[in-house]
Amino acid sequence: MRKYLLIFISILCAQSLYSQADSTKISIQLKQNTIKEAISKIEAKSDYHFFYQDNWTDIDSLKYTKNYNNTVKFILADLLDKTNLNYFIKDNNIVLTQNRRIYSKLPTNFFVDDTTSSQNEQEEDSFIKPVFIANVAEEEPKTKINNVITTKTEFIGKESNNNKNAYYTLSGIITDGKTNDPIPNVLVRTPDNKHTSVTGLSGKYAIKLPSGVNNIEITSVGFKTIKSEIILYNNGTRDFVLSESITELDEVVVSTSKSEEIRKEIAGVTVIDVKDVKNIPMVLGERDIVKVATIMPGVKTVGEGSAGFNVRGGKSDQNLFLLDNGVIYNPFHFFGFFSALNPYTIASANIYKGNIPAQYGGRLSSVFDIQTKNGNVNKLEGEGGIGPVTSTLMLSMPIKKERSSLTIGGRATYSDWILKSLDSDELNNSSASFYDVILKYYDHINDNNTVKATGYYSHDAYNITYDSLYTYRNAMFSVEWNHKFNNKHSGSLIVTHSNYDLNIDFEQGGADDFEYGYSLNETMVKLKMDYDLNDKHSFIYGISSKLYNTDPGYLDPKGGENSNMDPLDVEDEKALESAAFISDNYKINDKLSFIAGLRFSMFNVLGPSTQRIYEDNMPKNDATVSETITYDDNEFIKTYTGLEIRASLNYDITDDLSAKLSYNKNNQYIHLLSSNTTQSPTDTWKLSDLNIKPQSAQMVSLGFYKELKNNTYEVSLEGYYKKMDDILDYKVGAELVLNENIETEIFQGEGKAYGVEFLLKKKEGDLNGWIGYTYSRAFLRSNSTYSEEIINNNEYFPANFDKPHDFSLVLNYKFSRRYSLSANFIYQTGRPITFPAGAFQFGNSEYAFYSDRNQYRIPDYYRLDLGINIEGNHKIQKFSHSFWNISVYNVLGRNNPYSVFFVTEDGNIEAYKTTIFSIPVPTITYNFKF
Amino acid sequence: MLKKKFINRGILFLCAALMITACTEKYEVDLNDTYEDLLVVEAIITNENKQHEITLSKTAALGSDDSTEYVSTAEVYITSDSGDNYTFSYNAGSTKYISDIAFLPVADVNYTLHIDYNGDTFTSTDVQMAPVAEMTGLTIERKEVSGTDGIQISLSTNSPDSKLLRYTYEETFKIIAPKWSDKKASFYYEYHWPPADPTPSFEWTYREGESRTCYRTQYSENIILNQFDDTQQSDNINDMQIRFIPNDSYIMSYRYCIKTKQFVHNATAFSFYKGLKNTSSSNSTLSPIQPGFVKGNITNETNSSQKVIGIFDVATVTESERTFFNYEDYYPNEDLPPYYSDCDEIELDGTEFDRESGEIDGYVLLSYIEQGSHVLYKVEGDIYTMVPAACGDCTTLGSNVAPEFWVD
Repeated sequence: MRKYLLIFISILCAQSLYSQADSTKISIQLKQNTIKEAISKIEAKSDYHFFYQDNWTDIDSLKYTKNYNNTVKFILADLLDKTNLNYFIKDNNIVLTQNRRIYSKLPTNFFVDDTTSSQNEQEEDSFIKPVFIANVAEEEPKTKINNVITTKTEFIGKESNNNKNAYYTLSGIITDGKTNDPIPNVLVRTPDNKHTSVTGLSGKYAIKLPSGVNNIEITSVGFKTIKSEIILYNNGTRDFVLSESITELDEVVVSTSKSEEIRKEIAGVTVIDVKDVKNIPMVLGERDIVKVATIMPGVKTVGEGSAGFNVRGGKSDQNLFLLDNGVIYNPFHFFGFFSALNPYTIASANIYKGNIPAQYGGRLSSVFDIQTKNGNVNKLEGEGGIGPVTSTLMLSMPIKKERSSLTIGGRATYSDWILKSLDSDELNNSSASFYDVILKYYDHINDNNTVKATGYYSHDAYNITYDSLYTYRNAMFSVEWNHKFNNKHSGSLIVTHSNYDLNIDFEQGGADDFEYGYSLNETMVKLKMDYDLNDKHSFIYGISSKLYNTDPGYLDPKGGENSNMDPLDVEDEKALESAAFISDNYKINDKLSFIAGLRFSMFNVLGPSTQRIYEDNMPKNDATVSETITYDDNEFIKTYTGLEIRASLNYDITDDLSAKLSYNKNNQYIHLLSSNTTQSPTDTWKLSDLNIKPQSAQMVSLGFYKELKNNTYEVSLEGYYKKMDDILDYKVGAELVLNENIETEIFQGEGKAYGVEFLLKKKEGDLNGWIGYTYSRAFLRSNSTYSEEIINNNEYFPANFDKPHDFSLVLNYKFSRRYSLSANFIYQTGRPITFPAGAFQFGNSEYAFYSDRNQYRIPDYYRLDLGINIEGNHKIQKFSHSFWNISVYNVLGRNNPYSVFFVTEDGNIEAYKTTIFSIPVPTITYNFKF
Repeated sequence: MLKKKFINRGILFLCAALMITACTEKYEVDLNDTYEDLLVVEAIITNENKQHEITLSKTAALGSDDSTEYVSTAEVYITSDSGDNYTFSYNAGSTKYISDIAFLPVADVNYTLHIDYNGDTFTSTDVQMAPVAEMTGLTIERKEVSGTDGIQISLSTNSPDSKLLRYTYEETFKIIAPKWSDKKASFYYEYHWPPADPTPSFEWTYREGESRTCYRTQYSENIILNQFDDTQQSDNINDMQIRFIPNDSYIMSYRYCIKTKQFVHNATAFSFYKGLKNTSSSNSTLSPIQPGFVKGNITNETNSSQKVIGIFDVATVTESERTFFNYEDYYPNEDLPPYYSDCDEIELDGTEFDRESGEIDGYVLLSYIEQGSHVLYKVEGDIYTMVPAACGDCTTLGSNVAPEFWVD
């Protein structure tokens, strides 16, 4: 009986023995073994079978050296303690999991409603709810939001049954991906900002987060934000590497925000992109930023060979041409073919034709504000072009690294040298040359002070006919000091001096030889202040004053004792032109802004001078002089004043459509005596005086601007109406040169002009360029009661530069990175002209008579130019970049008449026309830049 | 070689530059298209009691060779605000309108010119008589002007009320043909049997009438206006140059006389003359003139947009004494100035009629005589020495009858 009981108990015991197989001790020795190796050892020494993934880092990374003589469970717990691996034992299988824990049963409160669980909070704490995750991001999401990196879901810590804490701390070091340095001031936070941490100098962060699923964001200025989903089972570490946020730009245009605003508000400002100039085929391969301006709608020249522009129905003396704030009186070489500015030295060209800002004054129609480059303060750089007739070079070098630089530009023709080596005597002694040099010094003294100084000189000499040599010179010097008082207030002090003179030397070797000359100079001081009052108002205010001195003309006979010529010297003139200006850029709201500008200008005519007084109610001529007054040096002869208004309103109708309305009232105190019926340009400037009043103009303009297709196209439509007073023009039969008392040869009439300008511009793409069309009229009329001052019965007649239709097309096509083709087509209605209309008998002689002034037109002007640019290869590390330009000017070979004039020969009147280019002119130019 | 190639290329490109300086060419413009058919009125009435004259004509197209077309079918009359009405009638002989009666305009009265022509009515502005000026002297002196020696004739005037003076002159001078002869050449054809190509034969005969000493009268063509001087504040204008005869002009070779008229005009008429003078002077590159239509004071009332050329003015006129001088008064013992034309003597053999051998003197002589371009100077046998007509026969230049006023 006792035997059977013993067997029964031993069977029971055997069963209990089996269930305690877990507690069987094994002994393993680990010597620098990884967990993986340890697991193999355990598997060898027991019946357990391990399941895990090879790619878990902890399996391979940690190494242990220890001897165990414990249960497998104990060994596992010890081994995995420092890792994020969890284990689950079922029968003989041990499953390892990363972070997560495998639960064998549901928690007690699983089926209990959350809201009622508050009573059981305390009990809950003791049993952590398992974390359920809908989606685990195995890898970084495919869609990236700019500058935000979303990492894959991270598991921190080991899920365990014993985790009683609600919060754990996640810590780590945040470093810069590029430099590997720790980044301070990085913000680590949850989206609801409940939990935050900021890294210190060491780059370390430590954020307390509730256990379970957390979303954190790591942000720092200049770096891409990182968003990470962290499942926190325990305290743990996670390092982050931040990468710089890169904004991909096509091109960075840096400009102060204020000027951007202003530019938007000014209707009718044209900004010439220096880049555009490179691609437009030009005369003889010369890049000409000013010529580009004439292709844009609203700006016209009278024809090749004529110096000067006509902007919106204004005479060519109504444009203020500024190079670094200094006035250039004749900014053209060679009768207007080339501009006298070295194209490589120009940084920007702003042409104000609709609304001239209050800080500029003295001209009615436009301001060309050309600024030169500041130069490279770091290294030597240069650019140049070699052409068949001229060469241009620009060099820029730092004087003091990072601070100041000197830029030198020069340009010259070598035609004189060529002429000397030709066989003809006549050509040997001829001259056809020009050169110009420019020197610019730039010094960025400190953050608050900058000084710029520019010196410029240009010289032209040509033989108009074989016996007369025509020369002219421009000299200009300007200094500008910019000072920043504080963030709101800054100012500039500008001093400039300009000089212009021209000479004609007539040398036949006989009694008719003479030298004729003319000169003019001005010195200006200007103080301009910028004041940003607040977000809504920013002011520009200041004063300026300029002193003019002119020698209106002299004739020196050179024929010796037998000279046929009488010497003549027209009296010098002197005057002071001053102004005080203020303008407010008022941002009414996001869509509407208003610029209100006022300029009070004053002109003082100064002695020494002799001025005539004419009888009242009589025309001004030699017969009606009532007295002559002599004035002493610097004595005030007459003062003219005027209040000028520059106002414009800008309304952003939509994001890409804006409208601008502007009103300008301008005064001009200096006049150009010019006539388009002459062959040689002997235009001289005349200051207002006792008998000649200043000219004035009022203009209203309205424009609409639209960007299409995400800034690829730009369309603008502008209309204007302008009324002018006291515009100078010559009476019939007036002598155009060397007038002692010019007031007897001119009349001051009224003008009116109106027009519509349309421009369609494609800015990007392989095919780019623009189409412009302008319809405009410009009229003048006399308004006198004296017959000698009445032209065309006091009715409006077309002005010399009235060209109703003006069409221009500029296209660039980029075949490849290195080849581009450009084409330029211009069409203009012909200029008005006065024709002889017949002959008649009077007294004992026959005379010819003329039609009404400007009743007819010369033939229309049109011209096509083509050019090809071939660039050198685009390797970045080259010493210099170069490109060839092959262009043909006037491909159609049309001989557009520039002027038509009449000469009486043998009692007959013959018509002659001057044509500038009557054949296509091909040129090849080589340009380089380093 | 290389240098040459470079220079050639340089020339090619430079030619482009030179093209600019040398590209003035005749402009073919059909001036017929711009022709305006306008009425021209020359109506200067003076303070003389006489039958005044007014000239009406039409404009002609430039370059046309037609002679001036005078208007004869208009009605012309002058009215005044004191009730006068002076009518004018066309005189075919002088191609002018002459007032039917003699009248003397008076001061401080407004005169208006009326013309009815082709259905249009033309009216002038009201004009009053200009102030009177007195000529105080005419001076003749030998002087150098602009490097040329010659005789200058100038005037002095006393004009307190106006400086708007215009001058005309009439000059008469004696011409003596330097290569005069009393013979003249002529030709005749002889007819003989059998008939053959006729060639003329030449002979000489004595001239009839005076052909050695003649008198020529010329009138001023240019408009002569008073030049103003800034310092001219006084009433006297001295040394107003009227005429300058350079010392190489044949005019003053023997004896010369001049008579000048001085007109004082109103401002509008003076401006017209000034404008006309300025726009008709030759245009040189370096002293160009602003062209344009010179406005007068007559308007077409019917068609106000049509222009009218010319003026109506009531001017005052004074005439100087006729003043004579002889060449030797100023150029004693000096050579005479060159004659009107070159007087080359051409010897021709009147028997040469052989075209093939180039001996064609006979034909030349024949054409000279037929056209009257040359006259006979000397003859010896068949050799006829011819000189240009002006050199041998003064009647080609002037009249062989001395004018009534001529005083030797």
